[in-house]
Amino acid sequence: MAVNQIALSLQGLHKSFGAKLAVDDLTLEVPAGSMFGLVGPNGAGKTTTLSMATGLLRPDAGRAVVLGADVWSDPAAAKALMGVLPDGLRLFDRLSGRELLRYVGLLRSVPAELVTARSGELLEALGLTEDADNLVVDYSAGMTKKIGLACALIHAPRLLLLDEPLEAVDPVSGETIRAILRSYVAGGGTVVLSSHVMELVESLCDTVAVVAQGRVLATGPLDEVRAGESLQRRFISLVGGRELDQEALAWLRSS
Amino acid sequence: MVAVLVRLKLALLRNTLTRSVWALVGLVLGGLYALGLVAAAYAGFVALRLSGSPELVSGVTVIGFSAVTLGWVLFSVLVSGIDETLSPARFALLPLSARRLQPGLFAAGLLGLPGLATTVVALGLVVVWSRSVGTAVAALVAVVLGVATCFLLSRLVTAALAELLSTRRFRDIAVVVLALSGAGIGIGVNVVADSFATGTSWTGLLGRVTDVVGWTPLGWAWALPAAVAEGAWLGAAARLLLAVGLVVLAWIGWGHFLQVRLTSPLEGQSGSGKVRGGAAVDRWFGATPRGAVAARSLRYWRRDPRHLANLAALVVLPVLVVVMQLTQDAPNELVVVFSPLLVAFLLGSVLAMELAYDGSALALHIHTGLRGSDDRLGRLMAAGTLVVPALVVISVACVAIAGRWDLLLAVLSMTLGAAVVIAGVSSWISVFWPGHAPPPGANPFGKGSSGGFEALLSFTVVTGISFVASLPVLAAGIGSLWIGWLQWVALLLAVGIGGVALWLGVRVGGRALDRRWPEVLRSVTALDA
Repeated sequence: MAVNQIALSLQGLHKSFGAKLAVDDLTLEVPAGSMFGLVGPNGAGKTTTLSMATGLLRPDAGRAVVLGADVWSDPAAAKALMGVLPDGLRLFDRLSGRELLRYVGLLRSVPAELVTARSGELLEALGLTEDADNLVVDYSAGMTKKIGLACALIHAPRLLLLDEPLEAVDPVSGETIRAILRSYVAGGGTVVLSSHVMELVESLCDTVAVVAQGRVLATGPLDEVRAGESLQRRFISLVGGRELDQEALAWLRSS
Repeated sequence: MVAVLVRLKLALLRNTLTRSVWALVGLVLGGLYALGLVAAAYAGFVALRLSGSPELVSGVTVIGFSAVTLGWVLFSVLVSGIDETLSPARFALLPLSARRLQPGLFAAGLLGLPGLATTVVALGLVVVWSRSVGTAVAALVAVVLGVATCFLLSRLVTAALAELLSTRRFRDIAVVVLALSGAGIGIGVNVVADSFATGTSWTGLLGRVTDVVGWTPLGWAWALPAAVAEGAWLGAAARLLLAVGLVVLAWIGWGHFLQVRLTSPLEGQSGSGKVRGGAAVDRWFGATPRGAVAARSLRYWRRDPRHLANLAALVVLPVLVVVMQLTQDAPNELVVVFSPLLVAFLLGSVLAMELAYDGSALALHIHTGLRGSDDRLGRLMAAGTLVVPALVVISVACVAIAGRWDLLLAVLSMTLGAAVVIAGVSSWISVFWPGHAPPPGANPFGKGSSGGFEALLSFTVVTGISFVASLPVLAAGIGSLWIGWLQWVALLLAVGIGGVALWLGVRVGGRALDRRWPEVLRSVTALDA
């Protein structure tokens, strides 16, 4: 089954907002069973790409295929295989954490008993049990991220698409999340996560893609992409780093 | 600072206009409407100026402009919401005090269609009182004080209410108080008008109402030129003092709330507290995707202040109509009996906003692959759970008050029939013009400046289609006043047409939603940065 060895395939994705080109002919293949890091500077089109892969944003051109199911021509099949943690979108935050998990589980047609059992385990693992009956609107940024991750996991998807999963999460919970993601991949799942923290991607991912200005600059196994350097240095040289001029921002030092 | 804030407001306006065609259409239509109002007002002013009777002039201007002032307060609270483009919370991080912001926010706030139209119309007061220099100067002072009062009072009232509504403990009370005070004003006006109507001539009535209104806070400023014209110098001085005092107090009060908002923005002030129970709700709707949508929607009717305010308005409206009828000497029992229909027709605007209220949280429905028809049906199930019993109770109560039990079946058929038709139609139409709304927890009285037009368009279309569709039911119901058995026809028609409308809303609307998910998400998140 050659098709199934590719968990997520993005083919020639294209999206522009008015005159601004956000994603420009982006093609990417994520092998099944990999921990895939999507890295790029701010405004590189990471979130736009993930939105088009999850059915939230209609691409101007191109296809997104999840384990053989096309997101835009067979959305039901594709979406059932994916667990999604979007970034910068609100949750139904007038529900408590427990209610939100139950809601997502039922929307995903998970049987009610299974939802109850799994949400208990997820809340416990992510350290949210104490706040499970508080409204999500009262959660801190890190707690909101964690309940969002729990929502993405509740139906045991084959592919996880996580936009900035560790942002604002404390080190202890961060380690828990890494452990969860590692065991998920070890069990045959595939993770695609976006980040601009190179150390995180380097320590967690086995495959990476560097994206800038809506295009893929490099993709492949981590060691191939970083080519003997640290990912940080390689990333800067790919994207084109900017040296800070000696004279620049001089006024900032005077205070 | 004033110039900076005014330029900021204009820049924001320009950017919204270049980003959305609907915003431009809305502005043009609003502008035309305002121009029409101004033209009509000036035609009236010229006629008044020519008529020459000072009693008539003072009566019409005092009552008219006091009504405008009241309108500013009521409309900003109940209907249109205040323009939040320069929300004070956005300045919270800047080293600015309320004292420095206030003049700029005042100027920028008046720099909108309502502010400009009010100012231009108010300047007509000078035209009307241009017979002598004294009255003209008094009129000019009145215009400045009056327009300031309009703006400051509306800001003060909305700020105070928003503060109350932002803490969950007070929210329920505040909603009820707000609704009741709306009803109270209606009743008060009716009672006052009634007591004056007993045995006085028309001009005498005008004079007495003018006297009363001119001494309320709404009319202090506006009655100033009239007092000068009469030569009542003591009264003029008192009014000037009172009007200036009111402006100063409102300015200080508004400044206080600005300062509060600058140091503790409204967002996130929802208070904490454990959520308990609710298992009954989950069991009632069942563990299916559509049941989950229904249970979530029902919880939001309770926990989201915007839904709660809508619900209160729906219930208060018929109460208002009934009470106003009962305070009259000869109440019209038919008006009482058919007032529940009002609720049914207002329901459209509430249901059509459901998608917009969700905002970007709606993304969850999309990436979980929820079917459009499940989304539509779930929301209708939740609304039905609340609205159907409420409509039945209201209908029976109205029939009981009027003592027309013979009309019970007709009223129930018409009210529930129209409500179901509207629910179905708005469930279908709102997929095409979902509009957008500020997030919950933001100022509940704030409204996006351009989402308003899309929302208005969908409300007009929904109400229009629903009215035409439910005409047979209404006709049969009204016909049953003369031919009794027609109420059975009304019942049959209500079931038939209502069924078709529900099918339309759930199936056709659901299929449209399946196709349009990304576009709907884009529309409802238009307010997010």
